[in-house]
Amino acid sequence: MRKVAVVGYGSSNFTKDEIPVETLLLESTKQIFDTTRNISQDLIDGVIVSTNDNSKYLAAILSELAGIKPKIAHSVEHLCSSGSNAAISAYSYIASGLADVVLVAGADKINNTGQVLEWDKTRGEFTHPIFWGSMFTKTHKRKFNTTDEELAIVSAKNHKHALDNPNAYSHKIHTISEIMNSKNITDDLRLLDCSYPCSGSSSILLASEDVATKFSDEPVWISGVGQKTNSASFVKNELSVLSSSVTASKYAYDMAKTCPAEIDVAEIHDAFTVCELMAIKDLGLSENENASDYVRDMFNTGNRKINPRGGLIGAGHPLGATGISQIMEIVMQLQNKAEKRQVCGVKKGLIHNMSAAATSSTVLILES
Amino acid sequence: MTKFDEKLLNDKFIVSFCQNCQKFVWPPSSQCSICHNITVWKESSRNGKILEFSKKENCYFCLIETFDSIRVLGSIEGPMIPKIGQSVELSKYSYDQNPKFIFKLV
Repeated sequence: MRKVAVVGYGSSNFTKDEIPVETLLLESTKQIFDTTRNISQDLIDGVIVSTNDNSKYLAAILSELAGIKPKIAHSVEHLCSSGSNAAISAYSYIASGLADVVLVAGADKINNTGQVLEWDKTRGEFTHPIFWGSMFTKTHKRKFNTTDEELAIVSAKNHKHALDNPNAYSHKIHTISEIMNSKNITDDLRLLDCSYPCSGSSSILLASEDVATKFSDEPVWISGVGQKTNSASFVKNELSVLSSSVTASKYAYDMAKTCPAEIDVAEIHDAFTVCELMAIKDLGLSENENASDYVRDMFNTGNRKINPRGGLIGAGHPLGATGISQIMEIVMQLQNKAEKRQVCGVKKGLIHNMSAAATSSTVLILES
Repeated sequence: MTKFDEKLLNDKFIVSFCQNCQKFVWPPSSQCSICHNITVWKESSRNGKILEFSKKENCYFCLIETFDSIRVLGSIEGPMIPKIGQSVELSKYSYDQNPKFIFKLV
């Protein structure tokens, strides 16, 4: 297998505006052309679009709009982790030798249909993600004595980080007290415990080791890939552990020949505040059973190791773009280009992206 | 609307069942997920226990596991506060784009 690097990236602002998905895709793609040296349309072998939008044939449409005539063009849909899975598809094409350079563009509109999995009859009338989010939170509270304040600290931290992310949906500081007193969505979730769908697009350019340095002096290598799908139905989940994330991270750590202690920065799928606490533990990033103290310490000391761009809670969650935006952030961190968000001395970074209450998870490890 | 949904409307909780594996297949499917044999429809137990619950406004919603190991999210009738492990009985079903499962505490 050939090594594969991220050599370019671009992102739109994440916003509440209703913007056509084609416009969004083109915006982040254009940034790649504007900022990546030596790139031209004829050098792109593959175009993969990540989205939950119901529009058809979007990879071909984006290709036409951007003047690309790729060998490979198709969409990837996998709910909230569409983006990271699209990146892995591109990785596979390049690693296998079927392509040298692949553009991965992810986008969704604020009112996309990806929040609800209609097929899942087991959820009954409780189809919205807030219901599984409430179940996870209630179980976490019972098992680890997690308090509302500990959950609120996750949100306060990620909103604070998002202040320094120019593309983020939220640019507002929320105090712990504000978060704890925000509107009750259920008995176990408040409004500011939740990430929110928005319109947005992010794109990355992947290239083989044979050509990567043509486009970047600082290629960032994909060294670990892990994916696991346990089910589609929420009810088959365990409530106290993100078991698909545990498995996916093990695959990624093994492939990258690394371990959690060597991860310097991570983008975590904080769909709800409890998800960040669960993921930190399940990915092995904290040795404590309950990651609340770990997050409190980061918040108090200004440590940005977890979710430096603000996570889904601070940056917003345009489903098809989220995984790609997470990858872009870790690439910027590894290139020491994250400006105010920069974590010191970053050599390895991790991306954790999951779908449908962690019925499936994807983990990537990147290295400079 | 599937046969499962139609039967729910007629107050029957029937679920696909694999005669080869002697197991219910949930959510309903025309084939068994283990042996891939064609399933049949079979009425399932209405009784189970509460695995987890929370509350939205005045409605308790719960993760229930029935005696046939079928798990669903459903609501609880009445104002009683549920408890983990508490026994419940599926008392009402309906269908409005999605199935609705309503349990009563027993």
